[in-house]
Amino acid sequence: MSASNCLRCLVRPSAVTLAPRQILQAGAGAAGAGAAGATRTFTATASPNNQMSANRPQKLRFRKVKKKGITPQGKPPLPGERKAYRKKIVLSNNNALPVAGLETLRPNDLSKQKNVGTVMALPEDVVDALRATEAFKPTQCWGIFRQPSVLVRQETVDLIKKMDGAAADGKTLRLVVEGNRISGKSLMLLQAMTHAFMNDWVVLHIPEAQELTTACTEYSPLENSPLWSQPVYTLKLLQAFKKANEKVLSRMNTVYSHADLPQIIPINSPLIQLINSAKEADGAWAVFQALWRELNAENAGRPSILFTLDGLAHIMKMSDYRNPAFELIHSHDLALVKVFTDCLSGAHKMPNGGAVLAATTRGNSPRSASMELAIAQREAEAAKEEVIPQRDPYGKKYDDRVEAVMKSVEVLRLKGVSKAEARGLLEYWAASGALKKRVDEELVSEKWTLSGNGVVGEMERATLLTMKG
Amino acid sequence: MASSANALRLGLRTCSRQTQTPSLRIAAIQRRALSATATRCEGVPVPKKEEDAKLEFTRPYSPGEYLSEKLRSGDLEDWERERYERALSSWRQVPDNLKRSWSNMVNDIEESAAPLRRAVKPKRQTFWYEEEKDPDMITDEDGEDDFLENDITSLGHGKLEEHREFREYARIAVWEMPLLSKYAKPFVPPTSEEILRFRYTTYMGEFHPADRKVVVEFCPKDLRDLTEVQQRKLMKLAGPRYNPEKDIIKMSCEKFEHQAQNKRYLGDLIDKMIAAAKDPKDTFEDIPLDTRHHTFSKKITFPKEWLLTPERKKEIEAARQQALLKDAEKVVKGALVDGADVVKQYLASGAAEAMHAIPVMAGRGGKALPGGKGGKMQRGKR
Amino acid sequence: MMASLRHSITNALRSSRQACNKPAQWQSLEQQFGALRIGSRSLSTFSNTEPNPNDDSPIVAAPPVSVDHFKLHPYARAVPVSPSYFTRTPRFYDNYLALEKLMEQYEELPVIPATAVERVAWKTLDDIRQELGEQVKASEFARCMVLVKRLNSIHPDLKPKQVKDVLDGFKRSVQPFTNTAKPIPIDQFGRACGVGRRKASSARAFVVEGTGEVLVNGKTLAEYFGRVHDRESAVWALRATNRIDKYNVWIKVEGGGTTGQAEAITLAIAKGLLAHEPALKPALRRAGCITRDPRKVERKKHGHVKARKMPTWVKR
Repeated sequence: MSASNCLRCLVRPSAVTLAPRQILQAGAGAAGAGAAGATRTFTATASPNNQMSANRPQKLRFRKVKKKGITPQGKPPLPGERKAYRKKIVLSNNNALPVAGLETLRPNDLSKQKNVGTVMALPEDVVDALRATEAFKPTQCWGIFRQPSVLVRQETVDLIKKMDGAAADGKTLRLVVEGNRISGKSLMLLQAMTHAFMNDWVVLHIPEAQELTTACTEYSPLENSPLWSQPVYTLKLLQAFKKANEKVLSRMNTVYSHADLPQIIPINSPLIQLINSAKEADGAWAVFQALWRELNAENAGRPSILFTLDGLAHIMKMSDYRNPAFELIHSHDLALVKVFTDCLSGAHKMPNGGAVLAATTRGNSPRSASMELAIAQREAEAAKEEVIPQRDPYGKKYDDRVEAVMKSVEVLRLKGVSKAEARGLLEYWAASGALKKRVDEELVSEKWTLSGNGVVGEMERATLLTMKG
Repeated sequence: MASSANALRLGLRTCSRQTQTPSLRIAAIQRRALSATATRCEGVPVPKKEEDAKLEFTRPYSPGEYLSEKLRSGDLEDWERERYERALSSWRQVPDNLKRSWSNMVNDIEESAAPLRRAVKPKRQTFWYEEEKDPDMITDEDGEDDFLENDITSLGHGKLEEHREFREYARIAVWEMPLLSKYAKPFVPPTSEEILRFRYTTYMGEFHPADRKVVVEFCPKDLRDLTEVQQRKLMKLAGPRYNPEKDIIKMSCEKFEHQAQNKRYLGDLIDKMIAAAKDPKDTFEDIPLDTRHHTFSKKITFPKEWLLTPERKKEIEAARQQALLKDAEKVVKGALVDGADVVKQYLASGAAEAMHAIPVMAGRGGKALPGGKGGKMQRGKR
Repeated sequence: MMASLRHSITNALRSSRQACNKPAQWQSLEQQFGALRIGSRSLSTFSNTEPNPNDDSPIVAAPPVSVDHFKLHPYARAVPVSPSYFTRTPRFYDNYLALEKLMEQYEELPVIPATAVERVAWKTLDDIRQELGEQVKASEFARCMVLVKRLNSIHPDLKPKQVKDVLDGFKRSVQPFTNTAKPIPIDQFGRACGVGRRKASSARAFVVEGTGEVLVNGKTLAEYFGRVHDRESAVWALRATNRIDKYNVWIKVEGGGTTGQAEAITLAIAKGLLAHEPALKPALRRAGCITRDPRKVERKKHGHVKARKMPTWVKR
């Protein structure tokens, strides 16, 4: 197998792209340095002082020796390059075997019960759209396989059916995806988005909620409103939205006139034009508002909307931003977050139907007592339990606004996959050449147990990411 | 070293011998902690010696005064009287300056010897009297350490003493302890009226600062005359003394000097708490019970579904059958995937060579390589 | 002047002795000792074989001396009782000769094959040397043991008492091979509780037939152990015997760290599994799941920084 591995694949991308020029530069530099060194030695020998010193016992020059030891070899990585390498998402690996009989998803496949337990490939245009929305994460192991594919779980089918049902009725599905570490919460969002893209929905995705609330993007107060906008992030979101939904948006025209934007958009102009009018961060929030209004226009043949957010706990607490009085701003006072929380709480009704999905996260997520309580309450209500968990009467970390938002959401708790589903996954891994073992019930059962009753990510860790093979 | 330490221990043992079992036998003899004289039994007459009478240091007589006084007292034998008189007449013949010089000499001696007679007061300020000379350890008496062969050694005495002590306790164990069974009472479980459970501490006759402590426990639900609301109020009044897991209020007191006082205080306190709980003015119903002081222990139990009942057995059997069937079915269909085989077949098919001929840069953005067989799916960084 | 402290102590000792030296106390001594007898155990220092004063038999100070014993031998020269008297290790040789004699006597008796002989912990060379107080040679001891083992292999039903007695002298007082482990019962719900320990951890595993679920302290394996290696070693006993999908295991584990807990669980599960399927023992032994790892943290020593590390040497 090692022979088929390409050693050059392991080289840093910057080294590859910059290679010819860099080598040239380095050669020139070395030549120049050599020349300079020569002249220096020449002058040194010429000076009478140095000749005298040659007779004396030589002084030890520690510094020079030390310096020689730490001379950097090659060029340091460019600013931001390390992060880009770390965050790089590789969706394909040509060293992986192509899987025979791998089906590509079709628009209705994710809602079919018969597909449960099978792995299906994502269509290419959907992959492009998902990449634009940043639905893929660097921690997910897409780079082991030839083609991005997903396992259809029972939960997936249930969720997609609910989404379709809500969209058909013109209602909004409001749902929180909850589960243990690496149990596939983000992937559940990705599957929902895949379904939405394939069925011509409009998808708005906030990939990392913490980017909104950890004070790492600019913010400014909105006029005549207690809210705060985040122009740079909004602009980025708009562009990602445009890129991902280009196919759907290109078919839509505006139904309202927008005069207060940086660029005047008359009625019945393409929606893409409206988005394009946000050239700079300053007008981005106004454009976003206009776009949101257009998308929610009634009786204009607008498609259903899927609004998703990953990392719910980050927007269910005080943000790290401060107001002029140097008090912390509540996350729900950020305009963009408020759009989402309004949708999630049901305060804003989507006239064309759709779904609002939020996934919690277990890595680097703050504790939000109210959110955890609300999720526990919703679960207890759904299970029709007699005892609904209540607030600890002496707990101080509760937040009324959070509980109000999550008053009527649904909760989808992800646990491990069943053994049948695990078998489908393992067969796919084996067919891709990543798991060199015979996939029978014994192996499935072993991996299922080792992964804590079929937690997908743990199964991946136990099977693919350990060196035992 | 060890043997000398042992010897000292045995030596001191005899000196520090305690009164034997004070509770069971009244000591007839008052023992001294460190005695230098023989212990005497009560009632045995001891001849009193003249030398032991209190020595008086008064102003010294002159010889003339002493002699005349002796003569005046009169209870003298004739030969004594005769000798005294002779001495007195000779004293009178002594010249005055000689008499004076004698009396001066006596006074001088008196003065210089005065501090020796004064009682020595220990200096309180010093650390363990370390600055003082210890006159007790320096003696110049000859032969004081000589063993006179009329006794066994002090080590022997120590050993004997030790032995006596063992026997003392053995006697008690055999003769007196069984008598305690007379005081044994059968255990009677507390009635529903006796809801308080007190705990005392004893150090078996020794003094200890903790032996005054009294702890009381009771369950608020045992107080039948309280309504549920009042019981809840009582729990809230108890605060962190209430254990919600065991449903018990536990209080202690050691602020008074005697056990009985502490117990009385606790009893009064509980009375007060009950009275306060019964007070209908404020029932504390609006205040939730505070359990922040208590960490609830999580109890884990064997899952009931796993217990091997006949139904469960059938279930497991069915699952196993199904698993076997599934595998068999796959084998028959040829759909059973074997990772190693798949790789082997792929390598054998020659597709790998074709792939190897055109290396692909992982993570290479955007541009596909010329004739790129792959790279289609690869995009650069976001 | 006051007497010195030493003097006073000596005096004190003497005086207390005087005080105690009352005749009444000494007289009652024996009575008291007699009274100290509690049940069958006696606190008395006198031996029980002493003639009882209540008996009518006259008290005899010592038995009459038999002169026969001291009679001169008819021969002119005294001959030692033991033929090995003049050797370096007379007692050992006596034993050896006794064995040889027995061997000669009972050579004809049927023997059982070596595999069928019950395992015995024989005394070692050091034990023998210690016991006899003689510098027994290793080669001679080895020859002796050959005889002992040969005699021991005589069929147990036919082994004469004489042989047994002699062999008992060569057996260690504690026989570890006679220890048998208590069998683990399977309760009415099909559970077998195995206990395993490692380092400072101890684990109890309730193994029951099932479908391959494992709960450690109420959590799944993945929740409880972050490392995949630990999870694998926890269920290694099941994995090595291909029983992972046949049983459910409910584990309670406490003490120690993650590795210790995981390996304690290995042992616990192996024992529980053995209760269900005793035939798996060789397989489990090969998988290394049966032996308790006795290694523990080595204690710190004084003069050392840790168990073995010495402080750095400093010149002056």
